[in-house]
This record gives sequence, C-alpha cells and structure tokens, in this order.
Amino acid sequence: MREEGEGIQSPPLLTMWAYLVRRLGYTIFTLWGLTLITFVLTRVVPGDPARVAAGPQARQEQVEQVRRMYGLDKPLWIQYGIYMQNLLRGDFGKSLWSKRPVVEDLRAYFIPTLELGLTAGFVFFFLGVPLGILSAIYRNTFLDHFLRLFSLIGVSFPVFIFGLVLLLVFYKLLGWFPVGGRIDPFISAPKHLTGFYLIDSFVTGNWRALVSSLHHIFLPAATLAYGSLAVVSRMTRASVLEVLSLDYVCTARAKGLSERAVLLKHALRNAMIPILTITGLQIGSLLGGVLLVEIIFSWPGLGTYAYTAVTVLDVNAIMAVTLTTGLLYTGVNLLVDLLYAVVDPRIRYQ
Amino acid sequence: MREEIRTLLKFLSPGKNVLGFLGVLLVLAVAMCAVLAPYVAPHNPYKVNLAERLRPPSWAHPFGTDELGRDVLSRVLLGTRISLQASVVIIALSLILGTGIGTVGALAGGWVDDVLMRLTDSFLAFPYLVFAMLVSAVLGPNLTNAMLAISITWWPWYARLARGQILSIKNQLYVEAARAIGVEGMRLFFRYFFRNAFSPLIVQATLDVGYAVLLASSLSFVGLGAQPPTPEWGRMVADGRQYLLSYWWVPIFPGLAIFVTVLGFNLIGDAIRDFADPRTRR
Repeated sequence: MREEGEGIQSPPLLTMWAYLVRRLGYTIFTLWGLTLITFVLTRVVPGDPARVAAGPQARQEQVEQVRRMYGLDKPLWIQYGIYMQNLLRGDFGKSLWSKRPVVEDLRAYFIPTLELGLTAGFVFFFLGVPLGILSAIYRNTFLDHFLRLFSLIGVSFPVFIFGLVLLLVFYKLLGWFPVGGRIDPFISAPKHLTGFYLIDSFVTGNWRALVSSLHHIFLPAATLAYGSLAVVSRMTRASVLEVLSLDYVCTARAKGLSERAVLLKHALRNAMIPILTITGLQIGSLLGGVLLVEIIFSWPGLGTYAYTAVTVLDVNAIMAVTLTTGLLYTGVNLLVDLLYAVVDPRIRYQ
Repeated sequence: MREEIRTLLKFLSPGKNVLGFLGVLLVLAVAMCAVLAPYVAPHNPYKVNLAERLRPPSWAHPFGTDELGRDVLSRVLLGTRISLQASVVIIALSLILGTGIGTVGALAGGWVDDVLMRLTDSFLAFPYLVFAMLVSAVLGPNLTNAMLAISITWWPWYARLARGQILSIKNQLYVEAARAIGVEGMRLFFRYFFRNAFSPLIVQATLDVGYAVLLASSLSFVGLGAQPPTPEWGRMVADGRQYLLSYWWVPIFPGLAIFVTVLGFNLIGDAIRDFADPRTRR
C-alpha cells in the first residue's frame, strides 16, 4: 500500500481527522463510564453514603448536615446530576483527614507523582525496546537467555517487595542512594516553573538541586520501571522476531540493504504496534505501582496521600485519586491510539 | 484435548524447556505448602512470644521471628494457603462474571453487545490497583471484600476473551450444522459454545493465579486486605516494613514467598505461550 504513495496524499489527512474524532468520542464515553462507576460505588453501594462521607466518627446531626449539603436526600438521578456538576467544577468534596478540599490536596501531590511516573515510563520504554531488539537479534544466545530470565524475574517481582530489596541493598548495605523525599532537606527546592524538580533545576541551572533530585528519584524510579521494562522488552523481542520472518524483510535484505536499515526502517516500524499497545497497558500498572513505590520511599505524591486516606477510609480522597489516575490512563490510551495512526497509516483507513 | 495435554506435558519436560519445568516445580512446591502447612509448620503461627522477638534466622527459627516473637517460617507457610485460596476465589468469581457478560454480549449482539462492551471498556480504563483500592475501601477493609474488589476490577479481561471466543464459534460450520439438525437453547449453548470456548479461558485463568496473588497481597500491603493477626503475605510485608533496615528477615521472607509463587506461574505461562506459538516451538 505504501508504494501507491503519490495519489493518496490528501485523503489520509481527512481520514486522520475522522479517526481522531472517533477516538475522542470513545474516550468521552469511557470517561462518562468512569464517573458512573465511581458514582455507583461511592453513593449507591454503601448503605448510608452520608455517613461514609461524614466519616466514622461523625455525630448524627453532622451526618444529616452532610446529607443535605450533598443532596443525598434527593432521588438518585438528581444526585448523579449534582455529582457530575461538582466533578465538572473540580469539586471532589472535602478530605476527612486533611480537612481541606480534595482538589487542593491533589494539586499538591499530583506533580511529584507525575514526575516519578514519567521518569519511570521514560526509563522502561527507552531501555526496554532496545533490550528487546538486542534479544531478538542475538536470539538463543547467552544474552537472550539472560535477558529472558531478567525480564521473567521483573514481571514476577511485586513492586513493593522489589522496592524493599533495593532499599536494603543500595541504602542500608551500600549507602549509595538516599531515601525519603524528592530532594535533600538541606538543599532548597529549585525555583517553581513546572513543579518537576528535574526540569526546574535543569532549566534554572541549579546543578546542586539537579544532582540531589536525580539521586533521590533513582531508586523509586528504578523500582517502578523494572516490571514494565521486563514486559516491554519481552514484547519487543516477540514482535521484532515475528516481523523479521516476514517476506518484505527478506526482500529488503535481498536488495542489499544494510542490516541496520532493515532493522530500523523496515522491521522496527512494523513491529511497533504491539509494543505501543503493551506500553499503554503498562502505564496502567505503572499508575497503580507508583502508589506502592511512593509509600516505600516516602515520596510525597498521590500514593502517600492515598495511603493515608486508606487508613482512615477517606472515600472522597480515594475516589479523587481513582478518577485522576483513570483520567490520566485514558489520556495515555488516547495518545497511544493516535500514535498507532502515525506509525501505521493503514489504521486510518479502517 | 487429551492429546494436547500430553504434548504440553512433554513440552514442559526438563529436557525441552528448563524454565517451564522449573515453573511446574515451583507451583507444585507452593501447592504442597498450601496443603501441608498446618502439619509441617514448626511452630504455632499465631503464638506470641515477646521473649523471642526479632530473633535472626537460626535452626529453631529458619526465617527468624517477627516483632511479636512469632515464627516467620510458620507464618509464611500458612500464608501460602491463605494466598492461594484467595486467588482461586478471585479468579473463579471474575471468570464467572466475565464469561457471563462476554457471552451475553456476543450471543445477543446489537445494542446489548455495544452497551456491555463500552461498560467493559470503562472498567478497564481505571488502573486496576487504584480501582481495587477504591472498591475495597467502600466495602470495608477485610480479605473477603478485597477478593470481591479485585474480582470487580478483573472480570473485564475475561469478558473480552469470552466474547471473542463465542463470536468466532458463532460462525463455525459445526454450529450451523447443529442448528440445522434442530439443536437449540441450553443444549446448543453448553455442548457447542461453552465446551469450545472453555479451554482458552481456563488456561488464561490458571496463568492469572499468580497475578491474583500479587494483587491481593498489594491490597493487603496498603492495609485494605487481610487484617492482623492473619498471616497473609502482603500484610506481613506491610507490618514488617518498619523493621526492614535492622531486622530484614521480617518483611523479606514473606515477600520472597510472593515472588516465588508469582514466578512459578509466570514461568509456566511463558512456556505455554511459546508452546502455542508454532514459530517459537522448535
């Protein structure tokens, strides 16, 4: 299809838009589903949602007050309307333990989680794909077997236990890395631009802060990345191996292209779809894993927040974290869908 | 089917596939521990002995003792039973729910299928650990609710798989033939659809036991699953976490138990995937 080239230069742009719009439609539908599920869970499943919202220690009149405040005495469909209205205005209700609106808490804890998650995502993708390719090229050699075992261990290591092991080895035994927080307490945080310490300190040329943040993020990011790295490298290996056995790779080799060109231009691009799919899915498990990793390394993010919320059963706060990560995950999947169309033009025509 | 199993077993033999065989051994060992735990545990896993607290591994306590002087090995052994039971229940519940919804969608088609599949997508749009945390926080923190919560987040995978299976069977010639000779209703469903769709689902479900162990222990780790003094692995890791730096054996041994269990199932899963893919079977 690629050879037909010239004649279909303009229609793809149109179909690309159609594809985009359809994907966006799906996404909006999914998001609506998310709100419906959380509504049912937090407002219908518990026998008395007002008591849950007010907290286990609340007195009866406080419960009644909450009931009126959130309109929990009204019919369900009106309640859902109010719930949606609040969500759209960014109102998740009040947190039980911090006594502040949940949105304010989210704002404070979201960026550190995003920084940790993105760093780990970056590491697992840009390390996992090359490792997988290496594994495919040197198939059935010592390297391949080693990588296979390495990734099988990675998939099976629960993130919270791997974190503890790293903590024990690199903090306690070797003393190479510090633990706790995002930066050394004696170094002031870099000037606030994006909220990402790594970026802010780099842009402002604050090298001391940059080194300290890198030092602090290393262990949690490594813990978080390992499992996904394992999955992505396995998938890359399988996908590249499959593509390498196809006819057009044989053709490319036959016409004398260098092995490098065959691999990077012909094989990898076609092997990319399953790799992207699995990467999108891995972001989902990363978003769950990041919460556990934060607890272990005392990283001041959503995980630490959710953990505290869980111990006091602060349903509002947990719901907000769930919706935020759900939103983020849906966004990532939309991005992956769009990347499909960039990588593989055939998808736009479907 | 029997022929396939025999080939598979041959494929998992030590000469052919070392890692797959290792997986079988690990899973068998874990299963043995689960069955024999109460009989082989050297100590009472619940017995508090403050005089013996936080003792390092020794002959009397191969895995050491925890902050209340309980024998870690005995607790890990009993934990095998708890974890495996929990994960089997989780998988069974999700399988029933998922297969039901996927099958209804595939057989009904049209808008019913559309609605059910969009619903399934919405469930999959949550990162599952976070979602399971919300569900079990709403239901209340205990192991039963944690199992329910994980099933509620897990079924969509089986719904998709079952739907795909049923859809492909729907167009098979033998179904048309069965219809032509007047087979219908439940008989048609069980003899022609269910039987043929069942084996891939069961294989997938078996391999997922490892992940279920992982998820259940993760929930317990954040305090939403098993409650003390239950010797559940995730809970033991959580309670022992504060002793990590001075008394590493308290959280590390239950942690390794989770790792070994999940690894066993993953090794088998990997081997079966190779087996199913003729390109890599050589």
